[in-house]
Amino acid sequence: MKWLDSARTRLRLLFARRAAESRMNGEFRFHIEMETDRLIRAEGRAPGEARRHALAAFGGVEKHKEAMRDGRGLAWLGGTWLDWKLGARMLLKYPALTIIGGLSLAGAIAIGAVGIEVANELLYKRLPFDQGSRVVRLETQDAAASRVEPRVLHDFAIWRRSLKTVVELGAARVSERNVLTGEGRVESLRVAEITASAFPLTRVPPLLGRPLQPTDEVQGAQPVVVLGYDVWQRQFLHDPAIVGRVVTVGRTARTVVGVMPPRFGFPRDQQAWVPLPVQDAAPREGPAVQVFGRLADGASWQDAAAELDVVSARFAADQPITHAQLRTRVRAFAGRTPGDPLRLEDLAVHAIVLLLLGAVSANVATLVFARTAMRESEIVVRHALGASRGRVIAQIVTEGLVLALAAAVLGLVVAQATVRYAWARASQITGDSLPFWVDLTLEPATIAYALLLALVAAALIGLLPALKATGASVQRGLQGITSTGGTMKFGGIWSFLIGAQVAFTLLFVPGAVGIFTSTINDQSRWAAFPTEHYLTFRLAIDNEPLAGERGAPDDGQIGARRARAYEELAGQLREEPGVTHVTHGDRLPTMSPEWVALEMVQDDAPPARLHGNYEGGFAMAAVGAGYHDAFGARILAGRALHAADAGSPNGSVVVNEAFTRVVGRNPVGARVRTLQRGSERELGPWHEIVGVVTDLWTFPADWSGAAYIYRAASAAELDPVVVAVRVAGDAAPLAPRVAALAPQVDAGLHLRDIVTLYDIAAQEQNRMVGGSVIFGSVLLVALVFSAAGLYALMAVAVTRRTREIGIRVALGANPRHVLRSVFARAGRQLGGGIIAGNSLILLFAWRADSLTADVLVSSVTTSVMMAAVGVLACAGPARRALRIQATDALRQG
Amino acid sequence: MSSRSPIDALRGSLDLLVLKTLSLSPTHGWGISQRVQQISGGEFEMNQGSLYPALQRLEKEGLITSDWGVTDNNRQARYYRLTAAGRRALGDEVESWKRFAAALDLVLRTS
Repeated sequence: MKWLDSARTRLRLLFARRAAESRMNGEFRFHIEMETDRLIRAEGRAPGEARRHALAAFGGVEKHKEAMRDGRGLAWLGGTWLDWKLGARMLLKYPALTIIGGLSLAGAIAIGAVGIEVANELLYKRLPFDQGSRVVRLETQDAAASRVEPRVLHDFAIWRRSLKTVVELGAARVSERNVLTGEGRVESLRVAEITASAFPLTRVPPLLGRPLQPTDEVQGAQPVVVLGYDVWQRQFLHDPAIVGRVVTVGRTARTVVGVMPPRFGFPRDQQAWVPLPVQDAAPREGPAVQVFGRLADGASWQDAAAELDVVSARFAADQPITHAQLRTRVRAFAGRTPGDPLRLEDLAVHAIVLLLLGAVSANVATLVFARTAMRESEIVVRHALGASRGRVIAQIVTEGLVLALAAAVLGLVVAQATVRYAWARASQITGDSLPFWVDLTLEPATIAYALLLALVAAALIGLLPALKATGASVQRGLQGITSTGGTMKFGGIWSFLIGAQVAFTLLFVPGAVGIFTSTINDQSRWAAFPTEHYLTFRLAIDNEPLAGERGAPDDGQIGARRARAYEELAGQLREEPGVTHVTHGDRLPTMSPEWVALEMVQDDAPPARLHGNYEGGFAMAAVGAGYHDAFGARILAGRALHAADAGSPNGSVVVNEAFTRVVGRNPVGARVRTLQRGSERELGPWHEIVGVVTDLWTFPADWSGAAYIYRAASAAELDPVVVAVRVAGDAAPLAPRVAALAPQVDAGLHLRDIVTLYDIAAQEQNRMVGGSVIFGSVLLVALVFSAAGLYALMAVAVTRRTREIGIRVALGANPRHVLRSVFARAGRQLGGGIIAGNSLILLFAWRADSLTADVLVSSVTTSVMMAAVGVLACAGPARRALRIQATDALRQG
Repeated sequence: MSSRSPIDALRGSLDLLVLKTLSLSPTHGWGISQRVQQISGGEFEMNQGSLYPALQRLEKEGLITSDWGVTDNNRQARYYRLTAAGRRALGDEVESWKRFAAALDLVLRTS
């Protein structure tokens, strides 16, 4: 078997490098010894002479060894390994370049990795089920109202019977319920009321017991619950006999019939599942549900979309009053729906990353270029000794690759930490936990993407300097290295790089300084009220039917129940010692508001669009009566909001002082309506402004000075209700009392995040300080990086002229004239960059309408700094050049 | 040693000489170089070291194979032997060489 022998030999030679070397040495030694013996024996030579003759007859031992190594196909491997070692040594030899370049690249790669990871989780992630990409949800849109219609139980019953392309249809409604275990522990859990069909749809078997079954949905069936793995672990301590135990979920005692495996949270992040009784509901009535299913075997997305179009059209014809404007679409359960057009923002992530990486790499390339220029003699000698151009280029590119890969590792570590932080923060802001399919560890695709970015960066930072360094002929290079000047000419490219470096720094610094200073300023702002005197929490109510109620309650019933529970809890809290105010709203003054565009009409003038003081918009919040009083705001004109103002679509509103400053007059009596930002057609109802209150100047955000409009809202309209309790003194001790009161008011009442406003503000401030420190560090690194890049470029440019300067001085030129010529060239390069950078700043600032004194001051400061760095970079090499002895300069020629 | 200049073993003919030598019996590298010298009556004087890259190449091509063995004087040596493929290749090479030599001879006679 020739090919088998051949393959075995090739593999052995290729991979068993040490064994092959040993074999080669052994054979050569044996051969020379045998020949030596023969010469002694046959020709009677002395041993020493015989050995010399044997060696001569053998030929150059090293030459034959090299020939055999080449024959093994291993030479390139040895060379590559050497390049890697050299690359690693270069990192240590040039620590400034390693740190500055490495950090910059790591930052760019981290941004890319985070972008791709988040995009992957949001756009491309599929459910972790068998054929999870074929699990779909059915979304019904109300075209007239431009919103999703979730009350589709009536339609669901028909879809379930008739749809052919989407099967295993199920429905669920999610809520929070208090779960009471046998030991008396209570925990608020995210519960799904779900049809039994959901379990076969997911194809995930339970860990213990059984899933829900259709018989559990029947009226009068024994109430049952399936628990999530974490709940079983935490609340029931892995009890293997959990199945059959009775727990109270909300208001109902239920028998545990099963436990699901870890990381199962269908449909979103649920921790327990109870049956959803699908009763007959009238069209567009009943509770809000989500509907899901699986594409039938052989059915495509287009087939499903076409069938749903037909069904929607039939509904519209049969029930025009309720369904004329409804259209049901099939959507991917997680991630993008196949067939959706690729949106610009999907591509923007990659474009931004590549731009950023390109900018950073260009900077690093500049430094590597300067370093390569300094090593020109080494490169030329290697070239002259027989190293091919490819070998030299490979070496320089590998050096770049070592740096880029080290940066990629660091970037991935940073990206992992950022992703974890970002998801936690997103979850905190939205008040929702993450969907169960979101994974907090970086995906393999993200790691591959980061490595690809590292390769791109290596090519950018290594290839250009490598091509430039090896471009000159060896002859010219050898002549050149005898002088100080070298042969790498920089000419126009060099001047352009210097100019671009200065312009880029000028463009970047003012913006970054602006963000940094505004962040710092924000930290000095504090609330106009004593935050430690407020206890806050989010209040929600479950949606379980009460005793005597038939079927699931609709949103109106739940809202009324929530309002009753809130009023009762507020009443009880007001009785507590030290409590002076209890108020509510959709957010606290420290939270980010909703941004709206406004139109105002006053004194019979035609409606006029108002331009708000925060990016043209106005802040809007829904608050209860007494909200402003509770936070110490005073009434400046008109009146405060009353409880009676709530509940009406065109109820009265109050505005703050900042609003008055924006409109320039007392707005009481005027009417305003909201326009959905970005959509002029979505007009809200008119509201009368009935009062003006003082600003609630608060830490920490930009919006603290925004013009506010406050509309009245009852607890029935808000879900969840954000409650603030003002106490005369420290509010923290009230927290356990609030938690204890809630179950007494209503078994379905859930209070979350019971903390003082001081804690919220302090936590926010810590985050801001941390963010500022990180941002400041990045800014500093970027500045040092730019300055170092400029210094390197200019210093190298002047160093190249050492010989020329030396000869000119030797020939009697006035040193002052020589210096003038050096600085004149540097001045042209710097000046070009400064003019270009400042022109762009002025253009951008003018276009963005944000030309402020701060921008001008930071531009001037940065220009002066860049000029100083340039002068310093020229001064050292120029001084050295002037000191060179005339004879030395001539000898170099 | 012959009084005439020994003929350099050209690379192409070196493979043929090695295969022919090994067709007689398996032997080590030094043994091959000695046999070539003996058989050719000292006409072929090769640079002995250049034999080894040729052996490695032939082994990679699967024409010969090798193993460690012990010589008569109790030394460790690498013994090469012809494979079946090598034997076939030798036949082909000999045929090809004969044709080449005959053609060359014809040309020389004519001139």
